[in-house]
Amino acid sequence: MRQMNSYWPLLLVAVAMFCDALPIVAQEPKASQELTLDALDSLGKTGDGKAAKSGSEFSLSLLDQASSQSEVSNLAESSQPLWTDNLRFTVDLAYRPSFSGRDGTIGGVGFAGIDLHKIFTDKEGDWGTLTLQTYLSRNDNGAEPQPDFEDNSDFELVNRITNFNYTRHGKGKTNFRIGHFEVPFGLEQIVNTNGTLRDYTHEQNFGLKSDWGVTFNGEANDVEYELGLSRGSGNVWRRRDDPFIVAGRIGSSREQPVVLGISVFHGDVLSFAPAGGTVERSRVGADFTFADEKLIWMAEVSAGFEDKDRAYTALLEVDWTDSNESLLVYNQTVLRGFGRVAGWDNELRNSLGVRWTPDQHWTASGQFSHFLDPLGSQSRGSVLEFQIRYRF
Amino acid sequence: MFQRQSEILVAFLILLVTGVTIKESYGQAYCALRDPTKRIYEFYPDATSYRSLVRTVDQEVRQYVSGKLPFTIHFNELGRHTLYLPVNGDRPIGLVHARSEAGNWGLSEIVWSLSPDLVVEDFQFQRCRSRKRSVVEKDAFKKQLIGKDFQQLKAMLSEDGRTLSNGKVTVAADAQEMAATVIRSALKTIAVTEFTWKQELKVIQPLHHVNQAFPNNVRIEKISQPYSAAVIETFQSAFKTSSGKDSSSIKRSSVEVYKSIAADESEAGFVVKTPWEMDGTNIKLWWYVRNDGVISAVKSQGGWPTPETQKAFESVVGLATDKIRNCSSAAEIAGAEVLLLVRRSGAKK
Repeated sequence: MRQMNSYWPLLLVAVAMFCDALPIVAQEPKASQELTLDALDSLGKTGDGKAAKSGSEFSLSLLDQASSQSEVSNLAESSQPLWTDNLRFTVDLAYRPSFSGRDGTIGGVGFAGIDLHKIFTDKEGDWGTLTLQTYLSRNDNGAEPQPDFEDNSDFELVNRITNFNYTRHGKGKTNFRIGHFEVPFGLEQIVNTNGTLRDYTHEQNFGLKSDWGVTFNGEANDVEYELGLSRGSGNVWRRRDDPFIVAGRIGSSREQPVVLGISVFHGDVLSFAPAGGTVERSRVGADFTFADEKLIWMAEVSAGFEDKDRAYTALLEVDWTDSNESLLVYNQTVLRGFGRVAGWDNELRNSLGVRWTPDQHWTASGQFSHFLDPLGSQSRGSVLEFQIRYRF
Repeated sequence: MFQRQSEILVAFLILLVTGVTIKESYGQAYCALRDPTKRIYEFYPDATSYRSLVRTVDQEVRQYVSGKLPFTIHFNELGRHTLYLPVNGDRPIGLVHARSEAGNWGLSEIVWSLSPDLVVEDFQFQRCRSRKRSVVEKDAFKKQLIGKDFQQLKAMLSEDGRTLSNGKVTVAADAQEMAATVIRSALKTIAVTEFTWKQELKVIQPLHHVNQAFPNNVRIEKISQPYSAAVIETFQSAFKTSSGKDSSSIKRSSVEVYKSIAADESEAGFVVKTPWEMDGTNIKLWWYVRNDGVISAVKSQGGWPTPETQKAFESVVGLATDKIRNCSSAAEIAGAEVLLLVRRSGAKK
């Protein structure tokens, strides 16, 4: 021990000599007089008789308490995670004034709702996602309002996407969804149009956009799929007339510039006509998306039967956006028809729309639709719609 | 009719009141959100599952990013965002985060795979309309980014961050704008992750390092008081310079010591995190110390500032408790302090 004590200062003098030679060296390291091997030993667990305190267990469960407001050192004592963890919540307000040149009406539809998204996680990982979009809606002669409105001056509680997706299976396995979801068919599956003026073919093709039921969904390799069984009654689960829908889409990954998908639909869809009952609808469809620089080209075709009539729909859309996608301009052309006993009854509509998102709260949209060739006894003409939307 | 409308209004008000008690968020409709599940398992084939960590990216984050970079995040990037934590059992094995980056062709959504120390491990596009996408998806470009930390990536861009730095990146001339977009996205991803999920990283990083250092680890203990007042006093005396200053470059107030316990309840070893500062160089070091008192690795979180620093600290690997009297460089003195701390925390030697 004594021998080492005398050797130690020499070493530190040698350290000082290296100071200029090494970039990572102590500044003027010299032995302090207090430094002895005994002092060094005292740093060990037997030296000052006090070993460092064994701490608490350190595991991934600490993440449950982690938040930007709390310090990790206090995590162990923190309370259990709040139900608000992994939650997104937004109040969503919108008003949609419209003018229909087809029947001369001026009106509007207003929406005030909540948009909630919650991921459920436990120590084994994520196991489910809840999406809740419930809107108090007011119709005052709005253009093409939801069929659930009882008349042209009515309140309605509208469920958009409200479902729970069970995802525990993970890693390439199938998820199970229950609740109110978009009927899996065509472009609507890969482009979000909820709460926007832009729409695809669901309402016109099937009489509804979303429905109550269950789906199996997932992605494997470069293929994504969703197959659903639903009530066939739209916004509200209704007991009358035993409607149902079976629908599904399988497509290539939407993450690629070119996306292809095929869809099927079959069901007895609840009719909102005064006579009630259901409409038997069957469709087979294909959709195509090609994204190239600032333009996105989209197409969807479907054909099948509407009760005993043959039916088809063809849609072509081209989108343009600016570099940060705050501005979207689109042109959508839809041709659809029914092969009735008296012959084919076709409708040709073209919609030119614009959407401007100046910040993360506001969105302003406008859409001008012109019916070049109306169905049946409906009149030609145009419909002009606007929407101002605020999310906070 | 009146009764029905009243019921609807009451139901909606209940929902709304419930909602306002929740932390606000905004942005795109949430039905459009999709987890990059496929990407997570492609990045980490050993992952058995993943955990979502949803936090708010706000103006404070925006200011933090603009303080570190000559550009910042777009307003569309504010709101609630998810950091995905792939796990193998209960072991975190990486980080996955998706960010949007504006280009002449619209927004590109890029999914980044980062190590828990915020070093790039891989990336893939979730959405991109540029015709040059295929060029930057190739290994030839990816390899130039993989393993890079924030500072190394920043050096790949010009001072204003708009273009590539001369000679730092090899990519076809017509794909340089796309390449710069990808690097900007990487930098923003690291900066946003570092700030927004800083509390979570304080849990994830030690777990990652202990599991990496000691694969047989089954349990981790954090040593609650690695330094006692007496120990600090002794160290200060030991490393006192002629001017009376403490020459140790370790910031002792922020040192963390973790003990790894093996299946048989024996101590597998220790991992020590030491902020280290000298001559304006400020780094966070992770020391892996075997239970027999030998340093088995030293890693700098987020990369080494210079090759010389790396060389100095890597030369400390193999240093044992009974050899610390031969320490000369500042790196070795830091290693000696770590070994003594570990010894105090229960190492056999």
